[in-house]
Amino acid sequence: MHTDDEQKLIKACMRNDRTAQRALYDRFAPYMMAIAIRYVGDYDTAQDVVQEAFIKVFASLNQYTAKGSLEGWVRRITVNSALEYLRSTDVFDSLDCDEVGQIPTMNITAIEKMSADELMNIIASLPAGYRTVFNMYAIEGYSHKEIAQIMGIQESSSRSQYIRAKLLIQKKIENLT
Amino acid sequence: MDDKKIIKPIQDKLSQHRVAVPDSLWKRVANTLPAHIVWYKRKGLYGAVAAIAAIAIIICCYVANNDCLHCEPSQHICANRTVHQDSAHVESNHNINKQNVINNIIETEQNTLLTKTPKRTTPSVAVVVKPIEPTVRIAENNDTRPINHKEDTVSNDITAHDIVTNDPVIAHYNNDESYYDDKAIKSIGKNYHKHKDQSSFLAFDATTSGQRTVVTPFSSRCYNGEVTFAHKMPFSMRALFEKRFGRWGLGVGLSYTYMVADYEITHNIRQGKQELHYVGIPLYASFEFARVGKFAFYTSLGGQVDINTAGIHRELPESYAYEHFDKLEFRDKALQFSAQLRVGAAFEVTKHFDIFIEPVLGYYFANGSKVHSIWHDTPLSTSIAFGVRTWF
Repeated sequence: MHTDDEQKLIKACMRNDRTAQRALYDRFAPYMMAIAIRYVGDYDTAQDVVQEAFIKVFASLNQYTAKGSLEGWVRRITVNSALEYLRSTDVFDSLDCDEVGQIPTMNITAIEKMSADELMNIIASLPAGYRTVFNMYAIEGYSHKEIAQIMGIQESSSRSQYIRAKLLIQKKIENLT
Repeated sequence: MDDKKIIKPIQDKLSQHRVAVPDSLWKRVANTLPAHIVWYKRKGLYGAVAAIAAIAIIICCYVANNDCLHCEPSQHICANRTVHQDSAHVESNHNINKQNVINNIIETEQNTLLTKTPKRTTPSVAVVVKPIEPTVRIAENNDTRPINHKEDTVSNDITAHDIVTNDPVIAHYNNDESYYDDKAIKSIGKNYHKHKDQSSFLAFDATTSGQRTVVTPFSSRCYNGEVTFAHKMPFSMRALFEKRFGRWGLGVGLSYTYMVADYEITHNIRQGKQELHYVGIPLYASFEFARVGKFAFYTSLGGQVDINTAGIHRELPESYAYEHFDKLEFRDKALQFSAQLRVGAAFEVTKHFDIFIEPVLGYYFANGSKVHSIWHDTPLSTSIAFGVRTWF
């Protein structure tokens, strides 16, 4: 979308124009849904997360400075909403920091052959802790230190969860192929 | 293997990934959003209606406020005759003789000198001395003629006769051809300039409902002392600064108002224009009720204080008054407070800069001023304002 059009859309949303709000929803809802499913693992819960995220988006549009892309801003809000949900369900309480031996090697060719839906389903099927750390580290680009701070866990736990997530994903990919 | 090489294809695949959402999700989201005003959806229609209404108001205001002297005057002020009763009597009889006129002039002169003392007039009278009525024609040999107006006045080439008097002013009186000496009249008329009221020579205590009241000597010498004002609709230029809170706003600014009134003292004794200039400070709250493209339609409610910076009376050349003044300046020192309701249309020139036009309905509080502005005579009145506004 052209920047001017985007600005007009944002202004209209800020004026509580339902048509504009619906247009913004239609534009970002599928994208936010995909993110939410990756984090929370199931479709119904993801809808709750997306709903919460949209409420935050419309309520804080006046804080959007247009320095970054609107898509990136919406993405960050969706991730935060998903993380809030995960924190509320105490998914990290049971995380341990057991050492994992050899770091597994993933098959790049197999990943490239997979569809986005298949890949998303594999990630969504991971246990909550693995899934969250994998999403944050591999997809969002957080460091283990940041993940530890955000989720209130030890940095070593974040590392081990990530390695376990990779192992599990590799197994699932092998099973698919 | 490098971790980044594995992550990159995953990121690429998932970055563009979308998942269909159910329709019910929008309903859930919409239900949590702030209440929506349904009519605002049809902003085009309502904007057009608002624009038409604004134009209609402007036209109505213009038509309603642009009275002229030929139409029903917007204000009548009836006056008692308060001074120069004798001279008024002479005028009303329309029949005079030489001795009467001489006596009249002497008495008038005496009265003129006396009117310099405010005690001779009621406290509310603005002390102004009018030159001796020049339109009186004096008949010889007890011949009487009716008083005429300016068309019958002085011819300077007529030989003057001496008048037995010690008064230096009256000594100029030309009794040969029964006309006033022009210089004598003007010398008396100088008093007028010395005593002109600082607020306005047309200033007098008057109610706005046409009550009888006390007027200046100028008008007291009219046949029935009636002054009419025909006010025209004022217009204002405003520069405003607004702080916006969504569709609401709080604003302050600076305003300049110009107003004109035609006045006439009975039977066109004096006729002219009164111009008033005001600088004001408005304070208001506004609400934007519609927006169509770059046009915004809004209403505002607030107060304003206006300060008169200048006032001018310009006498028209067709006035019958013998001694004309081209321009008489005055200033009204009373502050004018008002409450105002505005409906405006603004055009967004740049992101934070609008130009606007606003019909204004204002109530102007009584301030004890003697100057007959439209605000004084018609406390509830309309006007037009143009201007610029910036907001943040």
